[in-house]
Amino acid sequence: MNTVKLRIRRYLPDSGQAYWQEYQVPAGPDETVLSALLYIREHLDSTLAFRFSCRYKHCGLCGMEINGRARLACLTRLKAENTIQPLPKLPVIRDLVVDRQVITSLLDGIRASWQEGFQPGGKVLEPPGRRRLAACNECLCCLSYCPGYQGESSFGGPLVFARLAWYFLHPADGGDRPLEAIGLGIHRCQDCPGCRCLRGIPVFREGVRPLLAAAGIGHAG
Amino acid sequence: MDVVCLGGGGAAVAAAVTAARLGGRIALVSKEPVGYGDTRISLGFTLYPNPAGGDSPEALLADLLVGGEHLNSLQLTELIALKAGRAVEMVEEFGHLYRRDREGNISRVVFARSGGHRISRTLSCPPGGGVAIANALRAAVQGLVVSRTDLRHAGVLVMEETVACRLLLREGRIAGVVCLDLARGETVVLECGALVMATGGAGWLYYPNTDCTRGATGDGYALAAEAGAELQDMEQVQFIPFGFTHPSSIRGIHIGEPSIAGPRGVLKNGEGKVVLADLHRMTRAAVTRVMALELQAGRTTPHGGLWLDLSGNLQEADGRQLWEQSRQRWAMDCVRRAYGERAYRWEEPWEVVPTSHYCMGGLVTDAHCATRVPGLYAAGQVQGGIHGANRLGSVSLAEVFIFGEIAGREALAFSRRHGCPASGTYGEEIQAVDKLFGRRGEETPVAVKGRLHRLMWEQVGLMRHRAGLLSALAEIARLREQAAQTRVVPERRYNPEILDVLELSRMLDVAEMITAAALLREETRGAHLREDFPEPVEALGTKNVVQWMENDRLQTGWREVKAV
Repeated sequence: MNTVKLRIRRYLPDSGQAYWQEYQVPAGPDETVLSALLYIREHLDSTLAFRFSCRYKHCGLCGMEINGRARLACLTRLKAENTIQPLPKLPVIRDLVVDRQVITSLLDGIRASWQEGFQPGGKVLEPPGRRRLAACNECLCCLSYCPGYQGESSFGGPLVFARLAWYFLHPADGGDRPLEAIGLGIHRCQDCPGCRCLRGIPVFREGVRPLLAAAGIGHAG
Repeated sequence: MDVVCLGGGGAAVAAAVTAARLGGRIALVSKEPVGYGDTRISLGFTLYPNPAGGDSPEALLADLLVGGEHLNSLQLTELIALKAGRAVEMVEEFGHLYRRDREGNISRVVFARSGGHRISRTLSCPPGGGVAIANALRAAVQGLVVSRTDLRHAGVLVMEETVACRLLLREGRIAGVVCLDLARGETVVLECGALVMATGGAGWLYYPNTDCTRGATGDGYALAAEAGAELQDMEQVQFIPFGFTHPSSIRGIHIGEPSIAGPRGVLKNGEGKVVLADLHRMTRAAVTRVMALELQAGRTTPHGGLWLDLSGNLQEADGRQLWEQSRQRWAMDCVRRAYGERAYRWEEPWEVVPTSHYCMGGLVTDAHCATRVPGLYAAGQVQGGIHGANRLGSVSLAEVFIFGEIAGREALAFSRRHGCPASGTYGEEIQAVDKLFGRRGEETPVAVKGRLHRLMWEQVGLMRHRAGLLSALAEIARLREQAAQTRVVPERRYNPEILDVLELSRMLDVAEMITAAALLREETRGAHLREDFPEPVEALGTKNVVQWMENDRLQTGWREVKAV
């Protein structure tokens, strides 16, 4: 069994202290950053705060910046040396835990509004792209790759537009999603090369572009 | 507040949304972010009646009762059978769409036959699976959100990452709950007229031998029991047959259930001998039982499991097609990562070990989801009786919505009928939480948690016997003493140790319930396997193990199964 090194950004909100801390962790082959973090919690330092839930790919809670890129800790293999920080652009609550509320509060108030006659379980045709948007696990990693998102509350970013498009592409949607998208600053996406999603969801093609088109905002691509 | 819903999965959200739509002022209090519990990892397999395939409420009920070995509370199981289609309807009301055929009807192609069902009546929902359903849950709640400053109106106040610490009683009924907001580090008292317990199961007691999410520490069983509710069948912990054995980061993660074996898949022990063939139509409990015996005898693979060999399927004409289907349905990319390309192609066998998946036992309720504590309701996995001694595949995603809806509606009705109890001051209850911060002690709570995990897997896991259960009870008592002397750093905001210490105390309560119930049931039935009593005992086939608290002590006894 080898030993790997993890350099982790700590932040303690009560005292305001921020610093780097190093841990040495034994790791077998194929082990992941999440297994190293769990080892630290269980054996070395139980004050280290990070989120996780499912341990493999579903939940999206273990999004963090690993060796300079936003990734899921459960899907990232350990290297000999690993530098780990909270996701960028979001307020940090403690250590690797960011404030998800900043994003989820933008989703609050986006309501379902079904056209009259919509019957759940009944006859309806779903555009295939919508199913892919539905697989978003809100890991928030897309925000770190988004050139437009800088942490302000006036811009939705890929995740929020994916949700809006999820409603918009529902064949029985009765809301005015293009208007909501404009309110969340979708015009900034106009000249953007596109979104990046760790799950490979084509957020731009299936979500942002249809909203842009419906809002009457042109896009070069 | 009219109703507080505790939990963040399908049952809690169904209850909260139902009650809010009826005009209720609701608080949804979730230890994890909403939608991040076991509903999320369910892969989206949802029960959906299949009349064209010969399905009927009677046929479904028969399967549920046979699978549950008749320990089911009949009136609850009947509700599932009668309302089976309601889950898909509710999820679609929230905005998710199950796969359609070309005409726009729900697609028959995605019907699958989950373990224990005689008929294909399960919808799968690729590619998002449970995440897609969890997103719909989040969307439904987010559409009804009200802010803390605007509680006069109907809607849902969402409190994520907030731990319920103690239920409050007044005038003999539910009056509220003391919670800890983790991010702020503040204790909060929520007063209410009724409360829906929907906190899910306790699979995490067996970590890492579980495929459940981190939050499944059984909080609701313990909170409700402390408030006076009864539990039933806590010995019935379902271990789903196929979990990964390694690498350690995914130990216990779910690979699949018996049906993935296909018609020619076989299970082999560490010596290469076939121990089970034709398993694809067996229940989870039946397959796990065979595996437990082999593991107990020590005939295991290098990582302590058995071999699941699917290669036989490839020799059939439609083998390739079967592989294609399963590639889309199951955790196959994880198989590739963990066991390699040849295993992914079914050319090499997989190492598998049963993994803790679901608690059939739980809070005793009537058909209105009411416990015996006035104002306290329960829905979802935390509720007992629905599945008896074994749960069939895809039924839990139906149960959460069907009973979540009932519980939300009934809790709101109770709250309106009786009003909120008079406001109280709960200094002592708040102080009990506050004083944990900065507690001095020898070791960390997570160290004691680790000991409890190992104890449960080794002595109260797949295969149980009297001596092991007795020693487990003694060890749980010792761990309680150790837990009381653990240290917690004083920082208030998002302190991971405070979560550890709160969960540990609930996990110890639930561990004791499971162990005591397992000790009492001196027979093998359903998911409960006794090495010293390897056969079912006829006289116990009509009895539930019932538990309750009396003078702070857990009581365990028998009660005749409620057959109507």
